[in-house]
Amino acid sequence: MNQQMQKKPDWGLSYGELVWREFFKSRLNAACLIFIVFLFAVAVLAPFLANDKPFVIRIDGRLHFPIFANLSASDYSVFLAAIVGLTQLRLIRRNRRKIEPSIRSDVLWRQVTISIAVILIGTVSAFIFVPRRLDATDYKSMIVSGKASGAIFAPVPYGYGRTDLKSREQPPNREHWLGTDDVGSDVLCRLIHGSRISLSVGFVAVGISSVIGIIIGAILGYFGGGVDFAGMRIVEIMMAVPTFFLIITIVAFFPRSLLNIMIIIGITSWTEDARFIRAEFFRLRRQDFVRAAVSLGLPLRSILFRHMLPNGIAPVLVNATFGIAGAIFIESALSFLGFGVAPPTPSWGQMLSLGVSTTGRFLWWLTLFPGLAIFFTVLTYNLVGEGLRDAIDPRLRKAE
Amino acid sequence: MTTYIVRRLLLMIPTLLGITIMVFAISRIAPGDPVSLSMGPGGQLDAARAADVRKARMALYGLDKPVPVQYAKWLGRVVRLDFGDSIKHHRPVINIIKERLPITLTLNIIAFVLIYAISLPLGVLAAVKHKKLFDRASSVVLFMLWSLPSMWVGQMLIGYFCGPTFKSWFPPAGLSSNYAEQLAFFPWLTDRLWHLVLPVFCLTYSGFAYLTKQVRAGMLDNLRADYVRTARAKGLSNWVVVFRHAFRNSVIPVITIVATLLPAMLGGSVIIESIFSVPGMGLLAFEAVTTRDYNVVMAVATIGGVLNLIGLLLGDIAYAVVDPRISFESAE
Amino acid sequence: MNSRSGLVTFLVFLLLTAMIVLQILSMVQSDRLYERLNRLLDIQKGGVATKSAEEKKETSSLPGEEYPGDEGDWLIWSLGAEPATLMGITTLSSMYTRYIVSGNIFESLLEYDPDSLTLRLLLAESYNVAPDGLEISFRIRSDAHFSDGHPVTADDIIFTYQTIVNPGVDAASLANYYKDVDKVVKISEREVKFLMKRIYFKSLELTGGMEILPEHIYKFSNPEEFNKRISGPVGSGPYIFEKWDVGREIVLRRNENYWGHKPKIKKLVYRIITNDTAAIQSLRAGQIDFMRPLPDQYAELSKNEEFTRGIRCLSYWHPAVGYFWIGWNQDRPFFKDRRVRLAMTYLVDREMIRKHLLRNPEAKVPTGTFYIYGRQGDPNIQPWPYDPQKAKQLLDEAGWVDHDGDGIRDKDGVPFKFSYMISSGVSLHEQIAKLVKDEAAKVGIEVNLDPYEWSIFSQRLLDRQFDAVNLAWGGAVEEDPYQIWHSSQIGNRGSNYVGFKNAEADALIEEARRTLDENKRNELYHRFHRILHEEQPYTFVYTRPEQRFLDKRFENAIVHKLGVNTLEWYVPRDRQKYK
Repeated sequence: MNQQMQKKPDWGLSYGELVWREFFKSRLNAACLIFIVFLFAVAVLAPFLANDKPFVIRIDGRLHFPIFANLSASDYSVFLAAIVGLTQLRLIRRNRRKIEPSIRSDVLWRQVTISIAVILIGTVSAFIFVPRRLDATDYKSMIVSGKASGAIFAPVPYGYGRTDLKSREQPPNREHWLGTDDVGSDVLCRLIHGSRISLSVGFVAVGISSVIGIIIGAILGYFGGGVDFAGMRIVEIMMAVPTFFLIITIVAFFPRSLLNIMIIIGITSWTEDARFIRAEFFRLRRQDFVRAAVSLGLPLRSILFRHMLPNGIAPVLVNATFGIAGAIFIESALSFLGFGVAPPTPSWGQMLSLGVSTTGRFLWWLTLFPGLAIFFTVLTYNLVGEGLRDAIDPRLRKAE
Repeated sequence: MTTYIVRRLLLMIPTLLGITIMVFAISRIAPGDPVSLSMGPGGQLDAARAADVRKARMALYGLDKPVPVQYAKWLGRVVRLDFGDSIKHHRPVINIIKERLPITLTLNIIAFVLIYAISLPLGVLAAVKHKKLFDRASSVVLFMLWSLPSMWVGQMLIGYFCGPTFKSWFPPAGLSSNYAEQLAFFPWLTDRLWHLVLPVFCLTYSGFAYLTKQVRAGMLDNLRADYVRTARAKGLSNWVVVFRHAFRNSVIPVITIVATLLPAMLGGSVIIESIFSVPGMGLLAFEAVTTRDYNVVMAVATIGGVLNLIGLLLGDIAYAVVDPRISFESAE
Repeated sequence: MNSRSGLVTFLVFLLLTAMIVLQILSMVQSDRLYERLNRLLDIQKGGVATKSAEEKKETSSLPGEEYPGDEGDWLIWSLGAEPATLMGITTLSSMYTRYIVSGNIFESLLEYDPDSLTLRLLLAESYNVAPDGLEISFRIRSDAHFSDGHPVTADDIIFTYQTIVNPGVDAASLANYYKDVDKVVKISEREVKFLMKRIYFKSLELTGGMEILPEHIYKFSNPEEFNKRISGPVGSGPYIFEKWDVGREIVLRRNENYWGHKPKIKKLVYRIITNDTAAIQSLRAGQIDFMRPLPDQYAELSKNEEFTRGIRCLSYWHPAVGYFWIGWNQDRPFFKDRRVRLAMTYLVDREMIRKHLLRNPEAKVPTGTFYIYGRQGDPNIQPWPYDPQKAKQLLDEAGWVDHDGDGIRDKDGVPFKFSYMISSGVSLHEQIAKLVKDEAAKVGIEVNLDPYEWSIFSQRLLDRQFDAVNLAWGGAVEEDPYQIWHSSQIGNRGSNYVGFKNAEADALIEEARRTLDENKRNELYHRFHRILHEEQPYTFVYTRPEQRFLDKRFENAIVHKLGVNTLEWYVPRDRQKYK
């Protein structure tokens, strides 16, 4: 008995695994995925990579841990999200080995729902309970003047909001590896913290737009007829309104914050997803397994989301990656025009706007590095999306 | 076919109403109004009079009535094609738009034509040389072009090619040089085109990738189809097979993209227009939103909406006309 | 598979595109023809005098001397924004409007002598102020006439005044200044008398400085007619309006029929270039001649040899330069206490700003609201230095101490966290704000920057919905601080945004308004200046000279105390660029 249990059960390859393998056949796709993982690592670990406070410092004989003491609510929620994400990935691997395919997708949905719930609850509690601390002590001068000793600083020992007018607009040098911006803040530090802004905008905005798009598309696609007719008018309205101006107008209504911008981008870009899901559901509606589910009397929620959706989600996933790239673009455009996050929050788009000074003097380090950052991020997401689409496509065609 | 078109045109009306209501509501709910703008710092008004002046001014522009009433009045005027006066410019909105729209349209149409002129052959070539170096290299290059932020490219172009820093090949701003008015038609046209080169370039490069991908994907689909194999087996030359047979069929989805590309361009040109100081619709709408010039905002939204919907309709019609497999019912 | 339909559709498509392009081109061509036609009509209407009498230009009796130099050439300005109107008296007018029309198209009875800063005659041949200050009379020159030949008469002055104060006319802010006028009386064809309700030291300046509108052109039965006339201004000045190419440029050409000394420059062209970088590029490419650079641009380019070879860098002080300030809203709990406001001033390192952000060694730190080189301010008052230690001390004294150990000072349970409102899009303001945030963080104050676009910024400013705000005021040759500092101007959209309320200051301001003797008045203002310095309702950040870039081919661009006067410029014949 034990020996049988230990033998790895042979269930064949699932849909997800097939796509996974096809995706990794290309080395370019693999490289892009690695880059994205690297970006995530930078975004999660930002306060440890670039911070003007040291990890540990000895003042008057006592040890202080300034970085840890001053972690903010958003830092904690990002850590939580990262941990939950990693756990979820491990669980997926475990599912593949331990759970049989027929119930695997149910289990997966349950796990994903729990993960998202944990992240949401954790984020909200973090913002409620973690106190806001302000610590602008100049630890570096304390070391220099001898009041403190034994300090270990982060690799980039600058804070993104700290100003230093004497060193403003300096090209890359030994103190500031990528130069400084218009008030003397270190560019590398702002680039690192800016990755958080860009990635979070991408994910949250796309998350929101996907959810809205899926729900609306599912309802329209499943019911068809009059519901579809009315619904498509609404979709057409959203599509016909120039989104950029809508965004600018709405941004003026709410106070400037990252969350508002994410939500606004999300609620203006759901139309593509809705159309995809609607088209998929049209097609799936006529298939046997759906008819069977209906005749079994399963609840609507279950039919739509447990049975039909997993089969139609492929184009949405592909669109999501392009959507992330698009959201990052929109956010940089907004910041570039002056409508983005409030200063001094680091945003790649805002840094880009400083690149050509008003004299026409080309501050190349303020153009090149943020530009490259946006460029590579968007590029890798687009390539991953393309790779995903290629990986999925032949599968679909072979299935038909 | 006519019944279909008529039905779609009639359907446009509720959609347009929906758009205008939404834009109207948002612009009114958003804080700030044009009267405060003109009474702002610099207005230097005595406090005692300020309240009266503000009331009088609001009444002057009809802004003191409740929002639904304002909307009804606006709608009544629009039906007669009267978009009102711009609060900022004190001129009829129609005139302003008549000046600005051709500029944006010129910019976008030239970019459009260029995109198509380049993408179609490029996509076909990439499909024909599938998986070879040309295909893969062009694919990567196109993706890179697609991922370049336009404001970055615009600024770098101005910095490098419009001034004494590097090269002075192009003019830095505007649509015509100072002395342009004194030129005859063709030199004037050349001057105008010279000013348009960089903005058009910025609008064009990002459109390549998407369209080329579509053309390539469509061509690949068709090149693998049975009828192509038959044609080849019959002994037809490669070029005949590609152009007379595969190409025409893969053009179908490309045509429908026309409908979605144009509105995207009208919105995307805001950044280009602001960087290059081109007085087009994008800049007009942007300024109108920031100065709460309600009449202009509504006019732009309405006209933009109409153009978008017509574009969508044309796309659907073209799709149905070109592909006889599709009946008008399923084209929706 | 119908292979022909694809090709046909494609060809149809190409044809459609080509047709659209050709249609647009032909529309543009016909537009240009139309424009040319309109211009010809304009020339006929407003330019050449049809009933010009024999004006003997008695050079000895005309104001000033004839301008030197050769005739010809154009002066091309760059404007950072398009003016909303060319009628200087309506509220839509901005400084851009004034650049274009004041002195060029419209003239007033008196003007400021650019060197002595006193009022001198322009359209007026003589004036008289009664000893009690309540009657001011003017006599118009016999040879003064508008660009179409009609003489300037008392009726025009009365018409101008009545238009300004007409409640239906969109001139409320200007009318505000004339509320002390009781009525204007016509004494003869060329004489008027202003009767004032009470003494006000600026009455002569206001009545003499009114820009005269020709009644026969602007008369209206309904004020709306007047409000709508934003273009085609007609006046008595040395230039005539030629055209307004919306979004692109405004062109004035010389009034060949001008009653006074004609300027040498034949055309003034105002090009609208909103992008600052593009403006500099245009200047360097020779497409514009005159512009107002940003401080960064001036600082960098004035040291650039290649640049200064062809461009002259002007930097001059001028009473209207004004100053930049940070305002602390005294209705908020944080800024009620004078010590806190003073602490905030101690935190703003104005020397650093001057040296590194403005990069202008000539900029100065002001101590009050008056022109730094004028006579109204007390020259002995020195600005508070940058001293964070003192700031901490003052904050402790005022009761703002970190009681709960979170690094942020608090008092009575209220943490010292405030929002600092800035107008988005102006990088200098943003930079200063970021600096303030950083410095405040170092002493335990949390500042959140709130950028708002201008329309919302204005509204919030007027409604006083801010904790701290930064803004700049322009100045005047002689300022009356009533508008900004009197306690009656708090709220109701008055200009006392921060809520400064000081009984002694109020009394000083009111008394100064009634004092006609300049020395006595300035004594009062010195005392007022000291109060401002002690109370710090604003942190006065910087004041700096006007900076301009001018193409070197223009000669006689003398810098007076009131700045430069384009009317006296000329270009030597061999260097003229435009016909």
